[in-house]
Amino acid sequence: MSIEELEDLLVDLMAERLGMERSDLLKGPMLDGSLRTRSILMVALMNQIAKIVGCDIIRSSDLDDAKRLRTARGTAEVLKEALERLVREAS
Amino acid sequence: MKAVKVVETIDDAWLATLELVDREPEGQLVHVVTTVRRPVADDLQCITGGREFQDQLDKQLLGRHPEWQPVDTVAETIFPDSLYRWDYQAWHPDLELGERLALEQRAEELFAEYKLLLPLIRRAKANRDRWHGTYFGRLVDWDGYNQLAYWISALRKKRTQRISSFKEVNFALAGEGELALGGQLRAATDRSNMGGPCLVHIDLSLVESRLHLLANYRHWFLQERAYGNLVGLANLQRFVCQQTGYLPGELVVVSGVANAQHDKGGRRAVGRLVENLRQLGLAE
Repeated sequence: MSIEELEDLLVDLMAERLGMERSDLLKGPMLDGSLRTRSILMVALMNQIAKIVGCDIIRSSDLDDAKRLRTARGTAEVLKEALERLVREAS
Repeated sequence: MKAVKVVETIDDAWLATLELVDREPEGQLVHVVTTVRRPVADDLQCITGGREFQDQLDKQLLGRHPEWQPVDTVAETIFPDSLYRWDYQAWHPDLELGERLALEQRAEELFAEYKLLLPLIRRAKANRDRWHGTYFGRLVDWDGYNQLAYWISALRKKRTQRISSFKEVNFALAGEGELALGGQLRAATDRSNMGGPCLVHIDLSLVESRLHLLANYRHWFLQERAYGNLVGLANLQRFVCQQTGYLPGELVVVSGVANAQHDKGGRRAVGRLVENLRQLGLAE
C-alpha cells in the first residue's frame, strides 16, 4: 500500500472511531497539509491495524519521533515503514 | 503560600497563575494554589478550555520550543480524551438497563484499550526520557490495581445508596455528606529528586452533589506543561462525573513550586505570550 492509501485508511478508521463522517472529519484542523491527529489515538489505530494483520507490527522505537504522529500523513509513513520491516523480516 | 485569584475557566486560571508567578524576580513561587471554579460545563458537553486559545498557545510555544509537546499530548497523559466518546448521557442508577450497561462498558473498554497500549507507550522515547509511564497509566494500572475504576465504583455505590434511602425529591435537601477519594501518582519508594512524575496525588471530594478535584504537583512547569495539565485534569473530572452522574465542582491545583520558566526564553517571552493571548480576547 502506498502512503496515500495508508493515510486514507487511517482517516477512515479515525472517522469510524469518532462516529463522524469522513468529510466532516476532513474539515478539521490541518498541519503541513495533512489532517492533524493526536498521538495516542494514532497509536490505538495502528494497534487496530496490527490486529487485522494478525501480528505486532509496531515497536516502541516507531514512536520515538512523536511529531510524526501529529498528522495522518506522518502516521501513515510510520505505518508503511513498519509494514515494510515486517515483510523484510518475514522473507 | 500564594493563592491565585479564583476564576471561572481553565484559560483564565492558567493565565492568572503564569502572570502571578512571572512577577517574581526568579519566576518561581512556593505553594501556589490555582482554582478553576467551573472547569467542566454542568451538562458535561465540554471543558472550559477554549479550542482557539489552545491552538494559539500551541502555535506560540511550539514555535519557540519545537521540542515541547502540544497541549493535547500533555493533556492525554492524564486523560486520553481522544480514545473516549462522550456521546452518552451521564450514569444514573435508574437509567434504562441497556443504556447503563453500555455506558459502563465504555469505561471498561477505555481501561482495557489503554492497558493494551501501555507497554508500547511506556517504552516510547518521550516516556523513556521521563519516568517510564503516564499518569493515566498509573491511574488505571498501578501494579495491576485500577484506582480510577475504584473511584467510579465507590461513587456509583454512594449514589445508588442515597437515592434508595432518600429518593430523588429529598436528594438535595438531605445532602450527601462527604466522600473523599484519593489517587496516588508517585510511589512512596520513588527516590527521584528531579524529573517526573510531577503530579503526585489527586483527591476527589463529593460535597453537595458536586465532585471537586484537587491535584498536587511537586513542580509545576507553567509554560511547558501547566495548560495541558489543566485540560487533562478537567477531562478526568468530566469522565468521572459522566460515569457516576455527579455534577462537576471546582478544580484546584496546589503546586509545591510553580515555575514560570524564565530560563525558557526569558521573562520578556512570558510577557509577550500572556499579552498576545489577552489581546486575542480569548480570556477575561
